[in-house]
Amino acid sequence: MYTLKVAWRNILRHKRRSIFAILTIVVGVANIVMFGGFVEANYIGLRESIIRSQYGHLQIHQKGYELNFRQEPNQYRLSPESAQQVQALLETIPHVLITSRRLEFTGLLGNEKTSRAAIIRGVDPDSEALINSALTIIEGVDLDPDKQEGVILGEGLAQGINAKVGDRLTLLGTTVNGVMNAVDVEVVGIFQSFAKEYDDAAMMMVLENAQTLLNTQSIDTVVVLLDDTLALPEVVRAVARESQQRQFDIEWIEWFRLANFYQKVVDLYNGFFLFINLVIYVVVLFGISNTMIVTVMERTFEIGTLRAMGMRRSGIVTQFLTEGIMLASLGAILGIAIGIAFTWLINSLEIMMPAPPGSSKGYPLRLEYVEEIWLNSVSIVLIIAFFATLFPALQASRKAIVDALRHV
Amino acid sequence: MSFIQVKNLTKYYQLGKNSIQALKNVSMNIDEGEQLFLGGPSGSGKSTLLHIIGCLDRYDTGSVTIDGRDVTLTNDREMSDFRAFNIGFVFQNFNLLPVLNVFENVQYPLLLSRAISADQRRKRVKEILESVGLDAHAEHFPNELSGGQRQRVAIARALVHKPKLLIADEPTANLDSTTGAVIMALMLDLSLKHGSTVIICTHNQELLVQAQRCVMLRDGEVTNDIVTQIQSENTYVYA
Repeated sequence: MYTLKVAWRNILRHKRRSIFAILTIVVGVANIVMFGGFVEANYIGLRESIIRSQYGHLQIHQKGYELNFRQEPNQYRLSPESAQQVQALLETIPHVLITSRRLEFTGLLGNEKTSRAAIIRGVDPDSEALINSALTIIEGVDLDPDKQEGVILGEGLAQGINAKVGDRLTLLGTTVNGVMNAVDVEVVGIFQSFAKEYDDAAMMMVLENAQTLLNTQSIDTVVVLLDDTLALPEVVRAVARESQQRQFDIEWIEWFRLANFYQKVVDLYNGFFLFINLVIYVVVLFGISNTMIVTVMERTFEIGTLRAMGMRRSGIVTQFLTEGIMLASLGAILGIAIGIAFTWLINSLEIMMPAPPGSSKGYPLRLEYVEEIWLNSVSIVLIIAFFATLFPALQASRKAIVDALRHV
Repeated sequence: MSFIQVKNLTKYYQLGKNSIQALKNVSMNIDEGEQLFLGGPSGSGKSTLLHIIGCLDRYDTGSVTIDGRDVTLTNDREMSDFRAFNIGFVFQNFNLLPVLNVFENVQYPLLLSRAISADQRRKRVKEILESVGLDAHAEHFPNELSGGQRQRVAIARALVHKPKLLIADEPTANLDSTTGAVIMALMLDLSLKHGSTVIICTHNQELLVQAQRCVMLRDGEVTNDIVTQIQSENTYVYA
């Protein structure tokens, strides 16, 4: 208790020095809290954009689909009965919000002047609208199940063939029997997703119309949207268990296994975050050690007195360590408080960020409140404070008492 | 057997490439309760001797026994504990801890020796502050006190744990002569009451002349060891 009291009073006694050391830690920790929150918000934003504009949380296929669909897509599609059974199973699993059928293929989209290869997705318009909530219709309207010939085009694809809302186009595809087939479609809307590359080639149409074009009743994928992304492992376990019990011949793939881009972004940001953390922690290390070295030098006389009075070397080390850790605790707690305050402020300002590379639209700047980062930064700052203080504290304890008493 | 036995004590200091002999075969015995003044010019070795007897410094050859314990054989931790329980120090510059008030400064040795309960501690500190006339200043910090008051606090701190040995290094050097005399009398009086053996190092010739026992050193050697029979052992005059 006395050690704490002496430490606290010494911190207060040398106000300017203590404030400098605390400020160093505050600025460092607040930056880590904010940058960590920014990175986390980016992860979440990107993750949810990918899930809600392309992949859903989980995609379920006929067994062997992932390995073989490029060579033999027709052999590895889900029959209407299988698709229905899978959807019925999924509806019994907690956290499953909605399921939707998809049929994907490539085709040639064109008008009388030009044509372009397109990645076409036949979808259930109602359920897909929920799954694709991150997709923005920038012109026209979304797909309507009652308007079979309606299609929506990615912004880049629409620009590529100079198509506008209301235009009628011809879509050329190959049926499951290998015969060329064509349907007339009408552009009802133009969309923008998070990925420009996707928008340059993507088209969506009503599933039934796509099945007509391909002359099939089968689908490729049952897409699953959950009410909570973090529930995905639990849902996957349930799907594995239930499908085995019901002997369904299916396989599944999680969104992150499809989204290579997401993993690359995460790796890149993690690298940035680690580097920035390292720089900040090195500054904190020097800030604390500098303060404690000066403190020890200034208080040599006091160290001599305490040792003369019978304080053991360990007592001197404990005293200085307590001061260093107290200083760091104050800085870390204040840093987190200030980081949280700035996080709130930035979020409330609703600043818009420009579109990131590979993306076609900007996004609101948002910082997340990440308790894990707060706890980690406090722990790391305390560990740094311990080692930054230990060396000067050991030096102080090893001073010859007589020399310390003579120190001016 | 004497309370303190110093035998053939030798101490060298390294000053650059030169080795300086600070003490040359110093021997002396000090009885329990004795009040001894160490005198001599600067560089005579009196502070070195004081530090060695106070277990603050090591020596090269010889031996020092305090209360039957050979301090040569102890390690740093044992020496620290020995000082905490058995020795009180009064320094020329008072050496009070600036962040602690008078009460807390005086209490500190009791915390280090961990010998008594909190209630006893408070009682003992209050008593000794009364005896040095500073009970009204218990909450004051050192920078709020005069030099004389600070040295009174230092004396209270040195004696609060009832040490067997009180060591004072030029305790009046930073005080005016009147205050110095008062402080010296107070220190001797209190240590007598506590039964502490006292060793005081001083330049002050007046004090040396009045001393019960005065040991003079020059160039690391004892040149005089004078014992004066004082008439009234328990009387010290407050100037």
